[in-house]
Amino acid sequence: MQKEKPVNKLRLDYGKYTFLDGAMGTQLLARGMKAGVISESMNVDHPEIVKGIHSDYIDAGADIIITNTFGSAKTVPEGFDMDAATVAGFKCAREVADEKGALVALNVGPTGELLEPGGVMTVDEAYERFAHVMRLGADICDLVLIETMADLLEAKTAFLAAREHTDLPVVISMTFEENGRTFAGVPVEAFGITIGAMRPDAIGLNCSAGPVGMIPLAKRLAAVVDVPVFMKPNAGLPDPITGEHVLGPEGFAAEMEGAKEAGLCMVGGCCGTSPAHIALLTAGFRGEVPKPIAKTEGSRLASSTRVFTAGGADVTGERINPTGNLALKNSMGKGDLGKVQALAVEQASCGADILDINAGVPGADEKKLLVSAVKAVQAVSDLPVQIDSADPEAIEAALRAVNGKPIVNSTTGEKDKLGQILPLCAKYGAAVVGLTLDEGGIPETAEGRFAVAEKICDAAAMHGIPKEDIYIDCLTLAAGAVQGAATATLEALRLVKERLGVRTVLGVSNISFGLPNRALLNRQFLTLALGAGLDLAIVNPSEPGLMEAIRSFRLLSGTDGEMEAYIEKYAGAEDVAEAREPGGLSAGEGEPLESAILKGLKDAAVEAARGLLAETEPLDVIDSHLMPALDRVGEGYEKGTIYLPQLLSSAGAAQAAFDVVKEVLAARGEEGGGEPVVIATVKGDVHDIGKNIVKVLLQNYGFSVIDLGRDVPPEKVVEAARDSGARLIGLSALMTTTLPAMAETIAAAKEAGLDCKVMVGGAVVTQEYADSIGADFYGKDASSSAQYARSVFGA
Amino acid sequence: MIFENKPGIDEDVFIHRLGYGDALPDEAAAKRIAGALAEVERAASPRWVYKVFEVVRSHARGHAVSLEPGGPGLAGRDIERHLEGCTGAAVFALTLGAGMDAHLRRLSAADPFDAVVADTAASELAECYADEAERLIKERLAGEGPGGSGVYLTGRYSPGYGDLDLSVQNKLVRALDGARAIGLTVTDSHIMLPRKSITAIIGVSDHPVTGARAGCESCALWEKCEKRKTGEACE
Repeated sequence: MQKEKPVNKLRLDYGKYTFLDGAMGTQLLARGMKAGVISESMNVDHPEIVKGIHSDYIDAGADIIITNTFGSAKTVPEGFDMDAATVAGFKCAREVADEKGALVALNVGPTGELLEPGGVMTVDEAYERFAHVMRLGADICDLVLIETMADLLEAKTAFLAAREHTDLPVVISMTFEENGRTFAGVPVEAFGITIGAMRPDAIGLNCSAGPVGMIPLAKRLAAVVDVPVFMKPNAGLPDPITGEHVLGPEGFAAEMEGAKEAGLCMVGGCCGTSPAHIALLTAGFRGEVPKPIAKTEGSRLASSTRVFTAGGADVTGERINPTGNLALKNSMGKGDLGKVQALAVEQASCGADILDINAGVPGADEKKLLVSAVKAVQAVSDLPVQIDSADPEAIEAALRAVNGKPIVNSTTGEKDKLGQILPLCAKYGAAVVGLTLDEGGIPETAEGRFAVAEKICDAAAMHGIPKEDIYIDCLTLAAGAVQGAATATLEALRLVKERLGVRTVLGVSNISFGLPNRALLNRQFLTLALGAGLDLAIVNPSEPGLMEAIRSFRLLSGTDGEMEAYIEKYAGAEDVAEAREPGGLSAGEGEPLESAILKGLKDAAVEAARGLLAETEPLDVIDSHLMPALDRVGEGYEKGTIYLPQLLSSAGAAQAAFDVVKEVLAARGEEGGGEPVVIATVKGDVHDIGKNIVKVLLQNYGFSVIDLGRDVPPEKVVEAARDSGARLIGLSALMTTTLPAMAETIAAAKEAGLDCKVMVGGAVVTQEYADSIGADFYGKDASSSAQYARSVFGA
Repeated sequence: MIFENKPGIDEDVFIHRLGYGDALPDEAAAKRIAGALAEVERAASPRWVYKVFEVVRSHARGHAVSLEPGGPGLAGRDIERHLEGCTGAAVFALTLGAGMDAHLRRLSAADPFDAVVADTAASELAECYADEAERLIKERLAGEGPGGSGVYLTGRYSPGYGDLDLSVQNKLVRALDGARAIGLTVTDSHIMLPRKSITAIIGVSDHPVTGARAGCESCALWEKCEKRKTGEACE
C-alpha cells in the first residue's frame, strides 16, 4: 500500500516563534545510557527511553522534536546496523509526535570525517551518505534539520542531498566558536552568504558554547541572509572532569532573553539542555513577536574561509585559463595542476579578489578537468572563484564542488543559454556574469547592448536571482579592429549601471589586440571603464600597471578607506625581494644563473635565465646552465656540505628559472622535455611533504610531474600512468600502517602490464621492504630519487 | 577549549632540527626562517579537550587496561607498564586546526623551502602546545586526590608508541568527542586530521609514578633514524 505523505504543517516565518526541543545525548545519559554507547542504538534497544524524552520535550513546549539520528551519516564500528537504528529513531519520534501533536525533524549531523582538501572524503562520498539518510526518512519526517556542521562544503553537500531526495522543508545550522568561525575556519557570514543563497527554509547556529556567545553571531548571520534565522545553543560547555554543563535551566533561559533581539524566528537547545531548560525557554518566548533583522545591502561572494563584498574596482584574476597559454594548456592537458595552483597563489599575492577558473583544453574532458581545477585552486587559495565555462554540465559539476558562493561566467542573452545557466545559478546560489550578446550577435550600439542586459536581468529575476548577484559584461572589442569600440562599451556600461543597478564586469585586455604597447592601452581603458562604473575588472593582476590603475582608482574614488592599502603598497617600495631569499652556499662570482641557483635566489635566477635566453637556445640554457648548477647542489647534498633547507631553496630558484625557459619553449610550440612521471602518496596516507620535495626536484630536471596528491588508490595510479604514458611511477608512504597500500599499488601496476618502473620512498620504507614488494628502486631521499629518474630516461 | 598562554618555538633548537646540523643558516635564510615561524604561529588556532578516566585493569578481550566510563580498552605491554600504579588517566587531544593545513598547502604550491620550514615548525609548535596541555592538566588536578593532597602524574604516552596500536586513535578521539569539541577527526588508516594534532595519555596516581614511555628501539624509524646515528635521541 502506498504510504501517505505526512501533511507538511511547518511554516517558518516571523509571525510567531517556533520552538525546537533540547539535547538528546545528555538526556539519554541522564536516563541510564552508558557512556561510550552509540546513542542511536537506543532507538532499537530502548525505544521507550527515546520516546519518553520526545514526549517530555513536547510537554515542555517544543513544536518540533528532533530525531535521535545525529550520527546517521557517520562511519560506525563494524557490525553496527546504523540504518536500522536510524529508521527506528524516525519512528520513535513519529509515534510520539502523532500522539501528542508536534512535527518531526529528521536530524543529521556531520559525517565525522574531513572532506578534501583537508581530509580524504570526496564530496560524492559525503553526498551519498546524506542522500541515503534522506531516503530513509523522507516519508516519515516533516522536515530536515542538518546541524552542527563545521565544514561549509559538507553543509552544502548535505543540503543538496536533502533538497534532491526529499520534498521536505530543510533547515540547516553550523556550529561556531565565539570568534565567529567554525573549527574549519568558516566565518558566520560565509555560511550565510553561501547557504543562504541556496534558500533553505531557515538557517541557524547550534551547539557551540552558551547563548551569550552565540547571540552576536546570530545577528551577524541575520544581516547577510533573507531567510529566517534560528538558534539552538548548548547549556555552556561541559567540565572535563565532572562532565556537567555549566548552565542550569534558569541560567539558560536568562541568557536566552538576549536572543529576542537577534533576529530569530525559532529557538531551542543543544548539548546539556533538558526538558526543564526548554520549558523555561518556551515560557519566556511564548506570546512574543519575533523581530527580524533586515539583510544589509551589498553583493557578496565567499570561499569557505573568506568573504568578498563588492566594493568597487574589484579584481578577478584571469590567468587560470589555458586559452592562449601553451605551457598551461600542456600541463593541464596532462592532468598536472601544479601550475594552476601556483597561478592561484601568485594572483592572490598580487591582489586578486576573485579567481577565474577556465579548463577549456581542446581534446580534454572539460567537466572532469574543471572540477579538478576548482578543487586544486581551493586547496591553496582562500579567494572566491569564478567558474568560467560555456558548458552547462561542466558548470553544474563545478558548482557542486565549489566550497563557497562563486560567480558563474557566463550566460548570454540567448534564450537557450538563459534557460540552461540561470536555473543552475539559482539552485546553487551562485552569482552570474551576463554577456551582452544574443542570437543576433553583439549589438554594435550601447543601447543595443543595454537591451540585452535588461533581458538578462529580467530572466534572472524570474529565476529568483537577486539583483546584487548579477554582473553584466558589456564586452570589450578590439579598438584596432572596430571603430569606436571602446566608446560603445563604456557607454553601455554606464547605462547598465545607471538604469539597472546591477554589478558590471569587463575583461580588459582585448581592447589592445593587434596594437603596439598593449600595456598602455589596457591600463588607460581600464581607468576609463572604472570611471564609467565598472565594478569588477577581469585582468592579469601580475601586471603591475593594471594593479596600479586599480589601486589609484580606489584611492581617488574613496573606496580605499583611510588609503591604507595604497600607502602600504607604494610607500617606500624599495625592492626587498633579495633580502628575503635564503642563501644556499657561497658560490663566489661566476656564471649568474648557476650562482643564483646555488645561492637559492629566485628573482636573480629568473633574471639570469631571461638574460641567457636572449642569446642562447632554450634547450642549451637547460643543458649547459640549469643542469650543471643542479648537479653541483646535488653533489654538495650527497657530500653533506649542503643541507636540506639549502637544497630546497636552490630547487625553488631552479624551478623559477625553468618556468621562464618553458614559457619560451611553449610559445614555440615545443613541449620542452617533459617526460611524464606519475607520483602519489599511497591510499590511506595523507603525508605529502616528502612527495612534494621529490616533485620539485623532478620538475627541476625537466620532468612533467603528474602529482596525484595523497590518499591515492592503486587504480588511480594505474590509470594516470596509462593515460600519460609515464614510464616511471613514484610512490610515497610515511606510516607503517599504509605500507601495504604501497605493495598493492605496485601489484596493480604489474597486473595492468604497465611498461613502467616504480620507485618508492618515505619515512618507514627501507631497501629491504622496497625489494620485498617488487619496487625497482628505493629512494633514501629526494635527491637520489631524482637521480634515479634521470637514469631511467637515460639522461 | 582555547589555550590562554601561547607557547613559542625555540628558534635555535628549531634550526638544528630543520636539518642544518651544527651549521647555521646565512643571514638571509635565518630571516626567512624567522618569518616562516611567525607565520606558522599566526596560522595556528590551537584547541584542546581532555577528560579524566578511571583505569580499570582486566585482561578481557585482550586489553591490558580500559578507560572507564566510555573510553577504549588499551592493549599492549608498554601501555600497561606506563600506567602501572595509576588509578586514573587524563587523555587529551589537541589540534592546531584546519587553518594550519591550509597554510601548509598554500606554501607547498608556492615554494619548497617555505613549505618544509613551515611544516617542521608546525610539528614543533604542536609539541609546544602538548607541553602546555600537560602543564594545565597537572595544574587542574593539583587539588584532587585523597583529602585534596594532590596527585602524581606520569609523562605523556601516545598511540603508536611501543606496542600500543595506532588503531586506538579513532577510539580515543571518539571518547573525547573530538570532532565536536575541537574539530578533530581520524581517518580509516588512523591518521588524525587536521594534520598537526596530538593525542596523549597521562597516568594519574595518588602515589609517585614515573610512567614508562616506550623507548627508541620500539620506534618505526629504528632502522634508519639519522638522529640515532649521531647518538642523539628524541628526548
